Amino acid sequence: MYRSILLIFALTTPLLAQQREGAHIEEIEDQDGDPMILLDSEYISMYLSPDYQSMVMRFVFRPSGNDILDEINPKFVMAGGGLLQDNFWEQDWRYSEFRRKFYDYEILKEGPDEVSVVFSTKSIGFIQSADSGVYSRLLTDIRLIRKVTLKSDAPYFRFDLELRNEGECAKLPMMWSHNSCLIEPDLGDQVHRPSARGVRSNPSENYIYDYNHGWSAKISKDRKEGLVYLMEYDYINFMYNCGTTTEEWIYDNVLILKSRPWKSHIYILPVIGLTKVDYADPWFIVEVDGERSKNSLDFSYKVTASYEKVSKITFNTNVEFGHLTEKTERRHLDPVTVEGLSVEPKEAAISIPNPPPDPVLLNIKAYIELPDGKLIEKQFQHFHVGNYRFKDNIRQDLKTPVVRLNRPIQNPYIPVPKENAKINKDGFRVFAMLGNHSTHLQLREAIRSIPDIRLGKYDFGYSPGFVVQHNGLTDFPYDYERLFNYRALVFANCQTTLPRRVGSSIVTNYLRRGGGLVFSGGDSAFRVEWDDPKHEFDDYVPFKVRPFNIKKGVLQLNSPVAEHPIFKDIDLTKLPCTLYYHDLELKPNLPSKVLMKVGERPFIVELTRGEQRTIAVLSCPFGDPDVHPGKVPYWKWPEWQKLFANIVRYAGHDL
Amino acid sequence: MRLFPFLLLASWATLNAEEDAPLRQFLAHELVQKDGKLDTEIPKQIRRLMEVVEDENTKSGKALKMRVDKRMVRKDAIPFLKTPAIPRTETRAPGLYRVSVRLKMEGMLNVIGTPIGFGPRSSSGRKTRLKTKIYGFEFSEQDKYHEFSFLHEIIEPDMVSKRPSIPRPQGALGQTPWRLAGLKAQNAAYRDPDLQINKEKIVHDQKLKKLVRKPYGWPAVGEKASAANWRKGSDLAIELEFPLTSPKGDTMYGFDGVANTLQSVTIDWIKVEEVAPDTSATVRQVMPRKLWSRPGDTQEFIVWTHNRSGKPQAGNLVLTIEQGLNTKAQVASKEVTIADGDYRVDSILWEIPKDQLMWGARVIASFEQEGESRSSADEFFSIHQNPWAVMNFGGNHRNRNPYHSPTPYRNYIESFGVKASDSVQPMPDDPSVPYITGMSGYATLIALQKEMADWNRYIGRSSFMYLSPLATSYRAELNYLKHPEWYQGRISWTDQAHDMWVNAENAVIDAWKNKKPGPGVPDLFHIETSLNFNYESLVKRTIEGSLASIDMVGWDGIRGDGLPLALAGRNSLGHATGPKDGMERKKQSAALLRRMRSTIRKNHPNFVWGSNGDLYGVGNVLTDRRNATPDIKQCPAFIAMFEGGNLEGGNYMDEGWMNAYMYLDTRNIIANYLYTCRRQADFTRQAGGFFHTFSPQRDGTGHFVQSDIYYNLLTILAGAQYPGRYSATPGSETGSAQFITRFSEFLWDIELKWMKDAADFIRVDTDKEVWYEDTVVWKDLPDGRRRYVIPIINPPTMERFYKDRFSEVAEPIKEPFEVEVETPEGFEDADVWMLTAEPHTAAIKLDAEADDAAVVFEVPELIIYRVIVIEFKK
Repeated sequence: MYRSILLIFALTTPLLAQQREGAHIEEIEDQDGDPMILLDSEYISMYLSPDYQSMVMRFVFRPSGNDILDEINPKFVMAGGGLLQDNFWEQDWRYSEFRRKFYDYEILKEGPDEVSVVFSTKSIGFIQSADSGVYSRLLTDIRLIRKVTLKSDAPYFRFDLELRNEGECAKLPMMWSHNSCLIEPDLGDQVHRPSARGVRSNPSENYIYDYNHGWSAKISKDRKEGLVYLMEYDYINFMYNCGTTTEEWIYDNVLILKSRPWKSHIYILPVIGLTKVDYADPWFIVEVDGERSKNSLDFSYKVTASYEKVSKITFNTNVEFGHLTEKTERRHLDPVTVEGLSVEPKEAAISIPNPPPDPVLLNIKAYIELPDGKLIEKQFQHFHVGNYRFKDNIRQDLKTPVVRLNRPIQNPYIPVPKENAKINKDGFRVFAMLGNHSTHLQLREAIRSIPDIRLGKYDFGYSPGFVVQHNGLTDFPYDYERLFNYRALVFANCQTTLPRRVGSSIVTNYLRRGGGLVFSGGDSAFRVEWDDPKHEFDDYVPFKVRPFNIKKGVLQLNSPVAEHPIFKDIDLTKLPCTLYYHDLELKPNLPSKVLMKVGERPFIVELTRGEQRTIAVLSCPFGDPDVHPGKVPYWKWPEWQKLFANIVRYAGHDL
Repeated sequence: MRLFPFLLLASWATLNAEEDAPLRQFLAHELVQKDGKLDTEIPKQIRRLMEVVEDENTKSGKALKMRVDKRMVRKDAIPFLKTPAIPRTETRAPGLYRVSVRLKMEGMLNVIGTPIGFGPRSSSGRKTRLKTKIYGFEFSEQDKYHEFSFLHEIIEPDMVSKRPSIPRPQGALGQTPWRLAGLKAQNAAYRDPDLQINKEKIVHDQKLKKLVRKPYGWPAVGEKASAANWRKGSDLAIELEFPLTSPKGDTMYGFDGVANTLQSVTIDWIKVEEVAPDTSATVRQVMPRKLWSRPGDTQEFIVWTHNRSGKPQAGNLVLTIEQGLNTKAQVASKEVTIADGDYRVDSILWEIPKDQLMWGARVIASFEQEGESRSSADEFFSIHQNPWAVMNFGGNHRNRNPYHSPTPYRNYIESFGVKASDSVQPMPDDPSVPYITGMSGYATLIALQKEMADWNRYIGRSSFMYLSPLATSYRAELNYLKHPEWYQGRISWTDQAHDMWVNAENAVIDAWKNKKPGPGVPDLFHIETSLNFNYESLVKRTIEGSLASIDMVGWDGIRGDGLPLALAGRNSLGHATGPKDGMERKKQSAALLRRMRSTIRKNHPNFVWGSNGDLYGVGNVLTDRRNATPDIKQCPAFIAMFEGGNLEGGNYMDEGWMNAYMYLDTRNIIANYLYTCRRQADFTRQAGGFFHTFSPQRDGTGHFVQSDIYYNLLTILAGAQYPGRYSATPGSETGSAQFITRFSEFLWDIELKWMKDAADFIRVDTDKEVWYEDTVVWKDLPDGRRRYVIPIINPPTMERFYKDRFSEVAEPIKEPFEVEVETPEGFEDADVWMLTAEPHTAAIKLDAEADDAAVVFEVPELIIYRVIVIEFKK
């Protein structure tokens, strides 16, 4: 008996040793002599390079032995290869300040159960590119702390990203996670992104704005292998893929306060056995395939493990159809269960007899039983296009989806002001968020001309007026301590969405306490408002916004409400004209007052509710005055600066 | 047998080697020892790699063995051996000296790999380097001694030797307006033959010296380095080192460096010998002042001779021009006398006939006595109406001519990013004051650009104006404010950027007007924004602005960064504009381009146009081998962009070739790269234009690594041009830039058509794989002959680009191999020529047997590439 046990032990030990050698971490040099941090486990072997912004330079999923970064060679830095690259959307990735930057590092855990290493660097905060000459205070002095953890016997790794504020004011970068690998270089890869139109797999659809879950996947269907990224849904701005070569997403609402770092994490899970991904979360990853036979529509769920342990999962499915008819119907299907999830997919089959025509929507509830017996419920949907003639979730107009899938509301952290926070009326301070062309409207000069104005170095934030790659806002008072020192905010030629949803919420709290607000027009103003979901900040905008609302036309300013304080000491005897104007209508449900017109349209509008005053000026300094001799556009009108100064003063209760 | 017996020109190698007199021989192991031990003055990190070993294959029985530390050599050069200096007073200087080393190596053979630097040290800026490099492929086997040598000249200072300066072209990028006075002075000084030859005048004319602070392209001439004390000047010391293997500090799988391939080097001796003196006057150099000229221009040949024969020499300097395959004509003869020990520089003008043959030319300057050439030198240049036809960015080489620096063959100068705001406002508001360029953010001045263009014309380099189709600089916003319709969308710009630009430009203008030193231009926010040419006012702005720039500066042409004058379907205000049909918009854009070209040509008949990219995105189709070739007839706008043929055709630049190295790009497979390049060149030729590719990730250095060699070499063998330096190739001393200067006619002639089925007609009889079938071209000559051009390429050792860490070298074909080419119908005889750069640029007629069935000939050997030209006769 004893001898038999010894024999069994002797036979199995090498195998166990091979499979259960644990996690290992080591500082090494690669074949080129470059320093690398090797993280190794039974499932994963990878190099992270301190010299190359600590990105993953080599990644092998041991069950397949495939080095998915070999052919893309991250050392060709301009080719963009590598996993977990840091970028700011405000910087061109090719010339990003992080590209080829050395990150300091420290090995935290050396195994065998778990290994981890933390990398760190501090941002300079350029806009556009390293050494562009332009900085944003919202991007400077951010400490990026990147921790990579690999556990023994776990077919995934975790990446923790912490952004600490080592500067003076609140930060808000559009953090950009950039990953590029090749699963199957010769046969090709596919990308899959969750969206309210169903999973988007078309490689030419690079931007996904209606994402509805926090995952993204790259799979080679021919190799049945790939990577799934799980990231925090609440902070995604949009997803991006450069064809099938990259897997990227840009974070949103990344507010980094002095007192509160921003923390997030990503799980990267290699998968094998799947040809695509239709849904992923911390408990499972699933591929849903449907096939129509003579009398049934048959679905298979191929399910693999995610990073949380699961005992079993039961899928309750109902099929929804008839979206293109007058009546949408539902049929409940039999539940199916999978157990023993691992890297290899488990399969469950569902059949719909006498099936409805394509397309159909599967509403799936996953009941997840955890090892400790707890039950978690998750829901997801699958749009099955089948034989539908447009081959996509789209109607005949090639625009409207057949059915819009659920899109949860994001819930990023939004600070609230202290209960006793008040607008500081000790002196007159203004913060102006200046989009383009404010120089030509002399807005800064107008603000500086306000009597007793207390302007600081950082009371102007510059931006193009809209969110655009390689550019961004240079400053904004996201800290209530700072914000409440301003009597009024000026939004000049900016989309109201520019400070992001968190900014809109913060500003709304400010306005609720009586902060003043001035809108000045231009090609970026009054174009869009928050949608999906709407935001109450937009209730402070007096107009029904729409894109492309500027028209060419020499129109006379007229009908000033002369007794209004904004016209104090303004000579209204010779009113100027516009060369281009905003063609906008007032929102009907707001108590807006037109204080001046351009032609028959509003030009200056007041929207006052209680203590809070908002003034909107539909200015737009387009046009060449030289081709309109005798016409004086308002920005060349001698009274213009004084009028704008009065508007700001009025909004801030200084008039 | 060694592949390349010596590191020097064959002509230099035959310089009476048997009569060379030994001057010094240094035993390597003795150089590093003191009192029988390694000299402790040798840095410790180098000493630990060093060992004196017993070696029965050396006369002394000992040798110095030096190991290579692969980490050290990636970070810096490792100098490890230096001879004592030979005082000049102990030499027969001036004269030629043969410097040799006997050594063996352990490491990889047949690679470029880690070189061994060898020679006297020279400085260039902050960098110093040794004269030559010995590579792994130059050793026949490991652990066997080889001798390497080169010729080194000890010569008096330039003011005595009258060394002609090689004139350097000038471009606006990187030059500030404040250089104008200096450039004018030095350009004028160069044009003054008296100053050119008697440089001492500049040295001693303090005013002129101050103005010409650093004579552009002239070797520095120290006042103290007069002829009288020259003999006491610097001594000759020979060094050995392992140079840095990776210039950027990265080993990027053969991108710009290589992984170490050497384990050790064992050195027996270093030797310096005096080369036997000349017996007649020597033609040291002939330099065509113009690297490119048009028929009807005046060319100047500067001929530099010396006499070290011990007696006066009288004879004729005879200039002969060689063109085509074998056309030679004497164009000048001049009686000259030269005293013993003297140097002379002769300027000989040649009025190029208007009907002169075009393309590449070789000038041979010969010193003749009694009708026989005693000495000669040659050089290469281009004659062509169209600068695009012969565009050359120069290249690297392994030329070790001891008498003069090699010619940089770059004949094309583009002032990149030179416009004020590109297409929305090519010219600044006030052309008399400096402005900051929109695309590149440097200060420049129209007068400076004119000085440069005039200078470039004087020295035969074309000057091209860069023009982006976009709007750039703060003027993009100013124009947007006035004419938002001209733009396709909102601009990504800020008031802060506006302030920065305006302040920076005002500072420059203020300093200029007040004659203050030029302020530096700070980093500036960059804007490039798209325009919509549905508006005649904008079209006029672009055309008239470009014309004004050409009027004032004298550009030879425009290199557009994309096509200006493109019509868009929507403007920034959201209004639909122009024709709804996309194809119609493109046709109208093409018509605008023709209008622009014809408008400019009214004033400037020689104006030519080039463009990065094409209107139809044809390049995107052509660059993927898997795609079918579009029908050129369906691409009328593409034709409009590049039409004109050899004399007037435009140049199609496809910047996308910078990414051809990426794995997912089909061109990453090198055979595809060659095929795709030939296809795109042929497609462009069908439109009547030239085609040029792009360097990998804009790195146009021309590194001496396998991938870069093929990245730029294959373009020319596929009929395309390359906007970067051509790499040196292992088999050639004179380099590819010289080769294409001479043989552009056989590479870039638009009339050469692609023979896609060449493999059906051509048989190459060798066991080794060679590439030829994808890149054969042909044309019918005016006299009824038919020309085939067949590049034969020894392919790279790897399938894909940048996968070669050690930079292997294709194994040469050392034995002659037979080639048989079917005779086309109607022909029954043929002449066969081999154009080669291995080891020197030459056209060699091959023995061939030809009849109405086939022509058969032998290619003597192949290291990397040779080009066969067959001319079939009736």
